Amino acid sequence: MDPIITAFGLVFQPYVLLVILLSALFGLFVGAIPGLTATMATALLVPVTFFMAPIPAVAAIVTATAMAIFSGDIPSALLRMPGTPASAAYTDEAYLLTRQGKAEIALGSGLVFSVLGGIFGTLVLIVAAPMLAEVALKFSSYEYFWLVMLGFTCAIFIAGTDPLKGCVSLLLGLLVSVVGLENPAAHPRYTFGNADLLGGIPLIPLMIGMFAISEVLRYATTVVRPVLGTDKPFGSVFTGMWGLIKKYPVQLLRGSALGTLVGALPGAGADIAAWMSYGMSKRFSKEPEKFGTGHVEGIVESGAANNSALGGAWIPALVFGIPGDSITAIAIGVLYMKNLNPGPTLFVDNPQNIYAVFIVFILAQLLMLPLGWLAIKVAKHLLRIPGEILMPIILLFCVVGSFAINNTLFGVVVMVVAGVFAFFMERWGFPVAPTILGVVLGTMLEEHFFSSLIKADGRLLAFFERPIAGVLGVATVAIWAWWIAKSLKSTSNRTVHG
Amino acid sequence: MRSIDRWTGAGVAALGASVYFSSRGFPNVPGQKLGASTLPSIVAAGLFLCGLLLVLRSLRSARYDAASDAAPEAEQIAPAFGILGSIVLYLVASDGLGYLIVAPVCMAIAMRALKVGWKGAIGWSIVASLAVHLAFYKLLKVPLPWGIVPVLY
Repeated sequence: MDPIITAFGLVFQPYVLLVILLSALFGLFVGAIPGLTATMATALLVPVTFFMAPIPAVAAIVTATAMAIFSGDIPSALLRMPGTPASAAYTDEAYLLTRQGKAEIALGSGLVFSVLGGIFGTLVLIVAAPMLAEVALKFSSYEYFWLVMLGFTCAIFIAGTDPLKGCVSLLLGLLVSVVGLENPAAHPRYTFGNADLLGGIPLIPLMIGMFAISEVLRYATTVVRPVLGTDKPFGSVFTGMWGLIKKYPVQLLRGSALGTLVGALPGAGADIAAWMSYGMSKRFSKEPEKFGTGHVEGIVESGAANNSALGGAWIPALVFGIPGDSITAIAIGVLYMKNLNPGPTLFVDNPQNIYAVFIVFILAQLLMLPLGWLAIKVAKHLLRIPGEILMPIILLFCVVGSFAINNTLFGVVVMVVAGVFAFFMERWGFPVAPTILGVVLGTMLEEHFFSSLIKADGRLLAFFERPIAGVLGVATVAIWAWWIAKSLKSTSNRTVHG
Repeated sequence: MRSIDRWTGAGVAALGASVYFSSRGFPNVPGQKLGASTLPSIVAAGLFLCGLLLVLRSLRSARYDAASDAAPEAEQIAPAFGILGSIVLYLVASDGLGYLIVAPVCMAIAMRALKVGWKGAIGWSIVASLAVHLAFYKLLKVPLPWGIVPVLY
């Protein structure tokens, strides 16, 4: 019981509560601006968390992310432009409701079901993470190797529409991770005589570049800018929500469960969870014909899914150090920076910190109701802030933030190169998430691969001999075999019919 | 399938080949057959293979799909150069001239690139640069360079 009481003490301090409140407002603001994602909110927060104690740092990230994912629904409903990709699945549905004069239902269901889904994901995190951590304590390098490989596999096959390009993205991330001295032979790899590169490519400026600078560049090249969908005042967003909860309990539970599960898969986050849930909602609906005409059912299910994915994504991140999505990839960087190295031992050595993170999760979800309501109230003003002024301010924040990590301009160089690179990657259809996963997990992969091979004396079958490692290994190999077989089949069909 | 894939594929394959050849000189761990070159070699082989597959897929789809490339969205390139130029200016000049001189200029360049009026660009640049300086230098103790500006606080 002591660690739980200590955890409450860690969270319920004026400073931590103030950090939670401010990061909530920041998250709501960033999420509500079209083009600025929840991942970008996290990346922009990191330089500030650098100067905080571990618990407020993690609290800032958790709170800002949860808020940003919800507030992405606001421009989705009012502008037909999702504030974050996690809202994209039901943007048309929400916008059509707004055009029918039911903006309060679109926004209210987004808010209420985000909170409920988020609480569901948090409860699963609280129950599942410590149980998994107990199992993970028995893991050897073989299990970790396969977990990393399974994570890569999920990122390639679930997160993207084109596995081949996902594969290239992942390999590019791994290539970035090999730079520097941190390798089995402690040999400087690809440092080109530059002392700054000896420690490897700094993760935080890289992520700020890939997620924030690329967005700024994308905005700069866009010609068509959004216009407000409604100027009419709308009623209370909580009216009729209890009726929706009673009408759609199965959809709420199904969306929350699927969201948590998808969130827990490495590489797949809130946006994929929302798309899958929307599809599932339509598939099992009694009124599928109403989908696409301004029907709230899909918003209920996928709105719950995208916020529950947040809790799910933290399960592998905390237990194995394997990020569930891009946001937790950044969060893992922060955990390492704060000497809270993720992994099962964190649950044994510092349980109070883990409980504190859980408390923050619950607080963030509860805070979403009043602050979300407030954000909806001021939404029209928020959406009128011109992007051409906001983007240069974000740019300056990115530059100074990247500088602040090591107080050198090298971070700024990494940021701008990564930003340009990510801009072109997305433009040419290469997903960015697998690259981040490769960078974050590259060192871990090499370490476990190397020690496993030495233990096995070069015998590859040893990778499958322990039960859990065997199951993980077979699952990974099976997914790859299935994809290769499918690709070969479609190629031969094409040749025959072409 | 987009025709750009054959070029990006060729680039990826070339990158893979160069990584492979450059990693061959990395040493092994004493007493082991593995070392610093193991992971880069595997990554290089993967890049080479994926690059080739991208090229082949693009060529094959060009053969079977006559009109496969979608029309590009309307876009403007110049503002992006303005944004990047402002970052390069910060990299080159901030140490010598100081944050308080260079940051507002960079912001003004970025805002002008995004077609903000002169008055707005100058006003917003000065206010935002000062606010960021206050937050990072004063509150977070980040040593932003003063350059030729005397230390004010």
